Amino acid sequence: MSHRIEPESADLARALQEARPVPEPEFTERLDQAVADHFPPEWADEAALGKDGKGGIGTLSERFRRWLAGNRTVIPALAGTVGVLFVVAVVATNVSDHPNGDSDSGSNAPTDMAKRTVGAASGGITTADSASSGVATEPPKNVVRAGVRLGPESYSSTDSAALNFYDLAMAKNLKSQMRGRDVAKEAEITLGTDPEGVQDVANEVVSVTDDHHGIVMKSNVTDGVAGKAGATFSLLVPAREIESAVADLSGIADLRSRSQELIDITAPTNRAEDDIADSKAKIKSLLGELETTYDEDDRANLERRIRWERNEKRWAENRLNRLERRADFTPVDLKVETGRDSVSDDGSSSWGLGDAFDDAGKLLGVAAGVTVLALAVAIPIGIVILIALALNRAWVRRSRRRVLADDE
Amino acid sequence: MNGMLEAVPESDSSPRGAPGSLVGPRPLFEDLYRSSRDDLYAYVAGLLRDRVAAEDVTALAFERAFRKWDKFDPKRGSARGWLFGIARNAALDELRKRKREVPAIEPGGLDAPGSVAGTAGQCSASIEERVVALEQRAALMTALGVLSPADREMVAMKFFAGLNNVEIAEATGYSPTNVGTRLGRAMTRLRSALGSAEEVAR
Repeated sequence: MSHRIEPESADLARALQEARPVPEPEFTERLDQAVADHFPPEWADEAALGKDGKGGIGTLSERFRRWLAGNRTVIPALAGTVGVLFVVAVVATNVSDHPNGDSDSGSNAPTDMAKRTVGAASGGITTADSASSGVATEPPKNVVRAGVRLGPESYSSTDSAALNFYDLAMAKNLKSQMRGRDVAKEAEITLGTDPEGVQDVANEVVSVTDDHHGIVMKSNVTDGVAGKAGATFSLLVPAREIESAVADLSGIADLRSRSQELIDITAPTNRAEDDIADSKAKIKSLLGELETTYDEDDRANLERRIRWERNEKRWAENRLNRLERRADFTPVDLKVETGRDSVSDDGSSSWGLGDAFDDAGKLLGVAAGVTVLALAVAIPIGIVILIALALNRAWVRRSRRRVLADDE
Repeated sequence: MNGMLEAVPESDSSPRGAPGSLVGPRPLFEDLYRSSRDDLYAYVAGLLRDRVAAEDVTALAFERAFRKWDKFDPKRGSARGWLFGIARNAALDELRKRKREVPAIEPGGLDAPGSVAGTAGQCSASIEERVVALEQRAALMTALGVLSPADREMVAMKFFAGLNNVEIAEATGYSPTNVGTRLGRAMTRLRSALGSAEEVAR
């Protein structure tokens, strides 16, 4: 008796259809339930499918997605953690901008978001005081280091005692750091007053400058309404009196901002002195040669070189003189403003809505900076991940084709 | 995801009455599931020849289809073709995995008693007929095991899952003409393998 399937007949197709694999009822029951429940996160576990054990089917990302869907608190927790880290980063950034930390704590006023930048290559020191709020506070306790450029710093005061304390402390620090160095100074002061007081303030500026043996190089006083009225001064104050002069000038009216810069000119001064010494030595040597030279051409050549060296020496001396003048006299740019931020109606200054907007703007700026930094890190990583995903996708497609092709 | 369960009337004119066989209105996922579950399992089991792996891959294919259901575009092809394409990828991934691992299941894993259709429903048939049927089935499964995965895939899609050539083309990415060619070649090889197996049996 033959039981063979006739290969040439339609029996083969029928036999194949009859041999069609059918799923076990237990499996279909579990799968039906999973579909009815819309594949809940735990379905793979409950179904206990496959030889890989609980939930062990699918790619890594599918298993992770199931796990994530089954642990719904993870996403809010992660989001919260990221949010907290973001806030900490913003706050930390501000704290690092304010190493003194307590510059404004005395008045309970919100921190005036000021920045301190470090630029060691500049070889100078700048300190700046912003007094937009005009609230009396403790002066900053920062230690000023030579060779470090310090940007605008939060510090506000109408209390001249506090201001003088700060000046003295700062001057002491600077002196200790700059001892033995040649230093050129610069200062900028902005004062605020009401339009009627501009002329009085201007007179007082001239008077204080005279008291400190300074010179008013240029001045301009403008009358008008608040915001338009004001004055500008270009002063030259002897360096030895600059600290007291700046303190006195700052006390004339409401101090809005102040910055002082120390520029270390030791290197150019030394260079100029060395150049002068070199030129002198060369000239002396050339003169010696000239005494023993009788050839006309050689003498003419030597005289030309001596003239050249004398010119060099003169230039170096001029350079040195300029540097010395620069060290002896300090230019002070003083501006008198009217309008916003001037003394308030009741005669006292307090932190107000404008300051709140300023602070909010600065805070948002820091937040934006942190965000940009985060993006600067995240975007390249994201690009690398995308490339890796694309390569993986191509590799998977190729592997699938090869699974079939290998055995063909 | 709930959107997929909206009651949308479906034009069902496929040969097997499966939803989404033709390009047209979007079918319900549950309708697609009900009409394709056994076919999909049959195809995957025929290709993999491993019951446990076939259950895994079938379940995984339906889960993936469920998750991607919103992205399914009826204009681009039938739902069944789309679904079988997903299952095919999952099955090929399983085959890839097996190539990296030591095979856990011997070929012929589907040949166990009760594993094929009709075995349980033949109580009324004579013992001789049942023996004949089992022998034929065993020979067929042995011959299928000899085929390459590519040939086995064509046979499984056509005769186990009952897909037409267009649906097979949608699932595999081949052209319908190419599907016909491949199918013919696979059947030729199956006949040859079947003949060889029976020669050995004699």
